Amino acid sequence: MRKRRIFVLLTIIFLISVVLTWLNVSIATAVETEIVSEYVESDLPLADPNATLWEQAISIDVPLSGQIAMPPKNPQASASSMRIRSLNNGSWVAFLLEWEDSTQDFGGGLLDFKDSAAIQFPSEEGEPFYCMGYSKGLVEILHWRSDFQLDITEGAPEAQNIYPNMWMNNYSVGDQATFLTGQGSGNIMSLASRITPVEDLVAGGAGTLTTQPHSDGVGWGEWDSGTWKAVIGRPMITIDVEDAQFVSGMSTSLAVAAWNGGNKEVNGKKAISTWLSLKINGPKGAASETAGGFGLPYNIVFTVSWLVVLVMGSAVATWVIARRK
Amino acid sequence: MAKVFNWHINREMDYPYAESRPEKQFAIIFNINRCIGCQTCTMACRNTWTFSPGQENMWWNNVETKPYGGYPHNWDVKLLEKLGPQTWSSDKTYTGQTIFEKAPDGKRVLGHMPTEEDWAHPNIYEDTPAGDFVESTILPEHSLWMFYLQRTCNHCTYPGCLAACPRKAIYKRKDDGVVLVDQSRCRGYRECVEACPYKKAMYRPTTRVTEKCIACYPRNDLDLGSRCVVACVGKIRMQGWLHSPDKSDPTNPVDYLVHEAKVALPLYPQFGTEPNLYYIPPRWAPRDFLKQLFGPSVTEALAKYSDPDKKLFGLLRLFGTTQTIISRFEVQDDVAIGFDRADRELVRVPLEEPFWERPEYDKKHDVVRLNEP
Repeated sequence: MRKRRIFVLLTIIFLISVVLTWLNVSIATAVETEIVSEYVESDLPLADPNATLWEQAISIDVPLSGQIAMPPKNPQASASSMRIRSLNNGSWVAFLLEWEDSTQDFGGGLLDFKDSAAIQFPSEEGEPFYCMGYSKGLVEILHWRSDFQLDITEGAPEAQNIYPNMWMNNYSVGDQATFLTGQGSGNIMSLASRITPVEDLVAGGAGTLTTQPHSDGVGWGEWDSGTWKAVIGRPMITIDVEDAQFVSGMSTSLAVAAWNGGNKEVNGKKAISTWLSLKINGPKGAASETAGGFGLPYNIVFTVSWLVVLVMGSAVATWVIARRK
Repeated sequence: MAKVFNWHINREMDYPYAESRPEKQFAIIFNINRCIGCQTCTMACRNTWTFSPGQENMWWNNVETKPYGGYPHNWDVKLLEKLGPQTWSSDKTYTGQTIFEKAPDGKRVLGHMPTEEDWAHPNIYEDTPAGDFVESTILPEHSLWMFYLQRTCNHCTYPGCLAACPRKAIYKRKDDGVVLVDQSRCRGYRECVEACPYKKAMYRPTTRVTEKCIACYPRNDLDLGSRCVVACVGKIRMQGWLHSPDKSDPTNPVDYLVHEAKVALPLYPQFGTEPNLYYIPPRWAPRDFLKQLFGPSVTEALAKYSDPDKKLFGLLRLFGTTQTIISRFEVQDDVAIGFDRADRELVRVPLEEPFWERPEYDKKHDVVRLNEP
């Protein structure tokens, strides 16, 4: 009788775990490191960090730590965590980043640095060195910048705005692009006008960061009461060979970074995460959600597998108990 | 970190990149004894390069008064304070630490970042002397003293700016040793501004990149002197192509002044960057102060300058006499001659300026000569 009870108990536990797995409920709590980009049918809120559509995406909180792998180092980074969530609609993918920053900084004079945040993807499969990749493992970086955003809302920086009390001479011929050498050499930092606050870059190791001639990134950031919310988005497929390419159903990786200008954070002096998993969900029931091999919808394969396990497990348990009798 | 040899400090030192000396090195010699502080050099540079929006506080060439002046303010004393003891052995080897050896953890170079206001007053303490006023003052050290220190980018052999840039946006040209900020590659991190001991890398807030003195390299490429050199009213500057001590050419003006006569000394050699601007020290300033600025060879340099031989005397006559860079010079009986890089004669000056005395009363014309019209 006791062994019969054990058998019944085992079966019940089996059934419960099958049901829980089917419903995707975690039995044990673990640190969240997977971001699931939720599929939606509509246009993504690429310029609205406060849109209600974002609530359809599950957010995770990711710890950040100061970059100390190579100089210039930042052991006392300002941001300690970042909340990340993602939406996609099959054509565009977008990420909403939220992190704490007590001051809103846009750069300006010599000692003023800007607030910004960035997402890093491997250009190809795999997880190259999370600090900016390496020569054989390039990374694509989308960098939202508050100073570029200010250029869009207020125009390119002028000395009179940065130093309101300074006496300015007549510049005579000095306004031409030739004399604004950053502009004349095509440096993205110095554009006279710009259309996106998101820079698209590629890197293959620290010190190799290079701006792409064409930025596929769009986005917008808003700051409120000590928190930045920034949307970073781009088309899922681009023509740049160094860009990561996204397709529905794929799994890849991403890492994030944040800079607090008020803490003089710039370049390697940043708060960073390690590699996180990114799953790009497609529409539900789509053919792309196959388990592989059979070409059947994932659900059915899943159910059949579990039934097989249940039956076999019960058979084994019965045999063991019978043997002992 | 690589080990490189720095002949200013007479020893090896740490540097992030391997030793790679240029074929010839842009260099300027400044004779501080002749500077009158007219700032013509400053305005020549300003009107050529830094007159545009965002460059309002940029002075790639500046002339400051020592001991109290500085652009930016306190650029030198703040870094000297951080550097710690700067000692030299009896054989003129620097036994203290360079800015690379004393780099704090997490940084590549020991530096100082001035405040915004430090850059706003380039003539602060202009003509402010130190010492006690007495009725008269005589050499070798004046009791009340000041002097002008003329400064541009040193185009160092081991630049602090280049070492600090995390993305190699600063480079040193192999053909002439000029150090440049790549305007397309700079991302305005300002590590170089903090790291340059001489504060000649300057951030431009309107373009968000850093700029610096370019040695007027478009002029140098044509064998013409830099604007600050050729504009000098007091004729205090001599520009040339410097070689390392083992490759010194005694007929080359700058090689001769630095390596042979040894009257021209580097500025703050203890920082360890091997700067390529050299100064003939002022004869009237206190020796201790001069040794902190120019290193341990001050006494010999002043002795030689105060009692020059004919060759040195002749070469000093050639300062400021031509717009073209003098590649070779000769001092003959009573003339000094400068030649360009194709060995064509550029200029010929007498060692003694011709002098005629005319009597006050002109007999022939029966008229008294007046001093002025």
